[in-house]
Amino acid sequence: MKTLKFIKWLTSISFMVVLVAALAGCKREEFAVNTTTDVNIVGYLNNNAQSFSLLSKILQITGSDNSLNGYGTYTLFAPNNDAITKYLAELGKTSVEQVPVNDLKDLVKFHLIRDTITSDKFTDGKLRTVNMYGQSILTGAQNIGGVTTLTINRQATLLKADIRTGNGIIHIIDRVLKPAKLTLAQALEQNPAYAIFTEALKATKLYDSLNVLPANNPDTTKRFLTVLAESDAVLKAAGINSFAQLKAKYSNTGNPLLVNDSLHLFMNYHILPGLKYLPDIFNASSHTTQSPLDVVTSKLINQTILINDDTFNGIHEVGARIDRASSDNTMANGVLHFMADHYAIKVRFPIPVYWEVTDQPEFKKLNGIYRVTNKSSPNYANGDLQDITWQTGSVSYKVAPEARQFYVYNNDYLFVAALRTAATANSFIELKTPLLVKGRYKVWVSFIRRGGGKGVSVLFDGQPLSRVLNLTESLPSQVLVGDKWTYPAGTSPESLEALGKKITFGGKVPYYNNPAQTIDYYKDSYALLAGTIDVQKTDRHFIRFQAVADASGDVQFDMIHFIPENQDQLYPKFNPDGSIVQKP
Amino acid sequence: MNIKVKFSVVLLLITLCGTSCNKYLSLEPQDGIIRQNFWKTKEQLKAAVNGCYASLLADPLVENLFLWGELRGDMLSAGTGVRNNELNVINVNITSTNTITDWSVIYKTINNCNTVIDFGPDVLKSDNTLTQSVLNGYLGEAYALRALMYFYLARSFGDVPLKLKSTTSDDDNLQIAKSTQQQVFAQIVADLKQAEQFAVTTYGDRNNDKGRITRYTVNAILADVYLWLNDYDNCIKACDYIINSNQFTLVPGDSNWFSTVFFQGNSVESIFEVQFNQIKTNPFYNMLAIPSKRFKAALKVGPELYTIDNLDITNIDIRGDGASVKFNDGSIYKYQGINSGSTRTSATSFAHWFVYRYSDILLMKAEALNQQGNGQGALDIIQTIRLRANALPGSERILQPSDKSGITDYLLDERAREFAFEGKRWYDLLRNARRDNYARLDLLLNVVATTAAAENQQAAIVKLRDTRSHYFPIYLYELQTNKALVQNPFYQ
Repeated sequence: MKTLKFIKWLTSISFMVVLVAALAGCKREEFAVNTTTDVNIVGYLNNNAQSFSLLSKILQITGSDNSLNGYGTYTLFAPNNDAITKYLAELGKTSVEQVPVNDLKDLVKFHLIRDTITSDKFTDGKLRTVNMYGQSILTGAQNIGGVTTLTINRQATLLKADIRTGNGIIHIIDRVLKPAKLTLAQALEQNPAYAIFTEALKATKLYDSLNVLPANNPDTTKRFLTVLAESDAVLKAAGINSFAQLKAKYSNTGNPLLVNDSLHLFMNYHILPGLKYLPDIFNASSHTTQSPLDVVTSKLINQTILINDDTFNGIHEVGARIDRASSDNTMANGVLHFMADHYAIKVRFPIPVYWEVTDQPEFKKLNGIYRVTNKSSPNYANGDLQDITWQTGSVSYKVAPEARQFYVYNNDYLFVAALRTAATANSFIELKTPLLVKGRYKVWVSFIRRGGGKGVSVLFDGQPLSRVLNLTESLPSQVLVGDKWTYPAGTSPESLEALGKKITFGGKVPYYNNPAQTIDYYKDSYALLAGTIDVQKTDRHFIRFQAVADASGDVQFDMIHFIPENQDQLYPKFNPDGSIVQKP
Repeated sequence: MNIKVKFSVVLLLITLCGTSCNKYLSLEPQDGIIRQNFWKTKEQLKAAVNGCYASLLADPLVENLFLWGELRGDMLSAGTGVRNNELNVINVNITSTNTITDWSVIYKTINNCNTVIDFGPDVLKSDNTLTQSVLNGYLGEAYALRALMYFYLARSFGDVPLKLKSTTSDDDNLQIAKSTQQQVFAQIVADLKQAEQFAVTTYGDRNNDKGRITRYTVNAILADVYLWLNDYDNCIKACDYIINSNQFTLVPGDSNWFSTVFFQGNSVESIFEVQFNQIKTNPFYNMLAIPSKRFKAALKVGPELYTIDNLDITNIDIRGDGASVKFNDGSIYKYQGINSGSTRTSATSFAHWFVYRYSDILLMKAEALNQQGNGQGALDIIQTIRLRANALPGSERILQPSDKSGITDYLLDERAREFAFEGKRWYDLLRNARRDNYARLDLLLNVVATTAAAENQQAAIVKLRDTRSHYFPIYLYELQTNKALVQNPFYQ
């Protein structure tokens, strides 16, 4: 009886379990198949059809909707429906279907960048990645009636930025962006303010080279060019009122078609290879031009961009301004800038450059240290100085104490903690030179003899010079003649020069141990000849000191002289008090 | 069922009923104290007020005040450790995802003050030893501190939500819309007027007088607020209250000046300082002292602002080399130095944050006088400040008393020298720029022309021409959690 009851009870329980299991088994388990619910670019546009139905349709027609709905990193400048409606009205069409598919494909490519660029990366110039059409998109800002908006390609206004989707970033814009169709040559020709410049381009046949679309250009290095054009007004301000006057002023052969005619060179001097927007121009200090041996220098002073604003041979030459507001024009084959001032190739002849290597902008700002006796700068790490780089360790600026042991120009020198081949130590230092005019120069390195730099190879723009310098050797000791310390018997300035050595100070320099005496020769501060260089372009260049031997100790540089090889190598002399002694 | 079973059931029921009254079913926390048990004694009230001050030390409040006041000024340059968000602010490239615009830490202090204001008066009922005047003193401190926090917010963000009740229960409405900058300023003035009646003039010892709100502190904030509201009469009145109290004087500009004012702190020229200490050090060591520092002084600070006497380099502006900055490596020294030679370590980096000093009162008065047309009065005050600091002839300007705009420039330069890196520069520039319908917008445009990166410079200038860009965006997280907030128009 009891067993029966138990069995009955067990049966009902089992039935219940089976029933529950059966019911549950009929239900499909919902598994999450997506790792995120974020929509992709296409999903966002579809979700906001009231603003983007036309753009979605374009993506469908062009077949881009699949790729934009898949994995990727894109930035899409999305024109809203108003923008596309305006675009259609300009074309005289009423629906997107009427626009040729290839045009729509170009349109999509132009608005799409294969990179994720948020609005905080927008600058005054181009975006870091070109769009899929192959042109750079420009960003900027404009202020109308006190309200500032960001502009895209100078064609559209940014309505809403930084919409993050699963496969990229959307920026909404109020106009359709259009690629530049005109070439540089066509753009200049169509602008009546540039008649003289255009005529000169045609006379030199450079017009044709500026009129080639990148795809049709066989020379890949010249597919994209940058032109710094001068308007008639700018030329007029420089006293040139017509093409005839321009030709009269610059053409030395009378035939501008010749590559070496100076009008031809003048025009080529206004053409830079490559795509160079304004930030590219002022962020580098010089640019090669199509004039084979000439560069333009550039700099940004406050808000003004200047071309060829240089200090040469101690004289400041005022540069030519770029008209910032109207420049940065993207053309089909390059960038077009407009000058606010006239500039031309400067004819320069090689002149000696006696370069005080401590003449660095960072050192000059060291108030209370720069050229103040017995002061030194903090230790700089590589990257702190704009024109000096080195491998590792520290470099600093020092001014000699009152009781000096050496005779260097302005009493100051560049202190390099090490210059040796040991694995962990600094093995090189590279300096950017002042402007050197093209020509041949002898290079002299003036220094204070110390323990370091036992073997130093000097490289100019990467080319090693003929001599390897030993900066650890003393000259024969000076001797006292009357009250003057001077060259020992058997040596003279000329005999030293023959050995590639010279003393860089002279005249009546007080002897440090006894100011009543003077000195014109000292065994531990002199200059060594590194070799002869051939400067190909008038520009600032790089000189590098590379250790090729190992010796511990520091190296102290005073000056570097670049003296044209046919000129006197021994004078002038540069003294600790800052005076310069010319050849007597 | 037999009797045994029935008995068991009854026993079980009794046991259950008995234990249900036990503590483990109680909702009160075991390891804390709840509000209903807290606001009972005056000691608890005092602890709550101290908590308001302690919250000023919380990171990143002072760091934010430094960044808000200096990043958009012209006194900083980026060090190797600078962060992207900071560069974006310098380049006027600010988006709502920039963490520098996170204001939450300020509202935490505001909430602390609100709690004191809401529940402080209840203590009177439960603690007979608490007098009305002592209670008022505490309330005054809370009102003033809240006003100070809103003052920073209104100057940095423009329109901000006004939260004047404490957040104490789940029923509180946290979805608060913004009030206009005008409304916020009106609330600040009302709070300060209330605080002025309540606050004490002294707590009996120097450290409390400089570390807690006194009636003088209230007047200092009031003077600053009135200057923002272009209410020059009231500004001068507030300044004169402090000047005529004879409780403050400029510390003599001798060799001990820096050490007295900035290293020791709480000097006789101090009005209110946030008191960092051994236990809670300031954020500046990692920001300004370590080799990979985030900021250095701008290059122009040495040669152009303080200038240098080339004939006698030992003749220096005492606020310059070895005080605000180290000329030789350009590091910001105000929060690092013990004196011009020795520096603090990371463990002793507890220089105070200087909110108001007596020289600030004098220069605020000068600004108000100049705006009222009393240029000579302003020039006299500038001269007092310069004499104390041994300002060099190179930084002196010879101006006619009628040259209002010139005196404004001179005042701004003198304030830059006097309050370098004290988080005041941007607010000084903005206050003077926005006066008379942005008549001096050039002040801001000139700054960004030198500070923004070259490739951002033009966009930065154009953005600043839109006066709405002078205020930060609301941080994205706030927008997501508070649906009543609307992003500031420039950033929509």
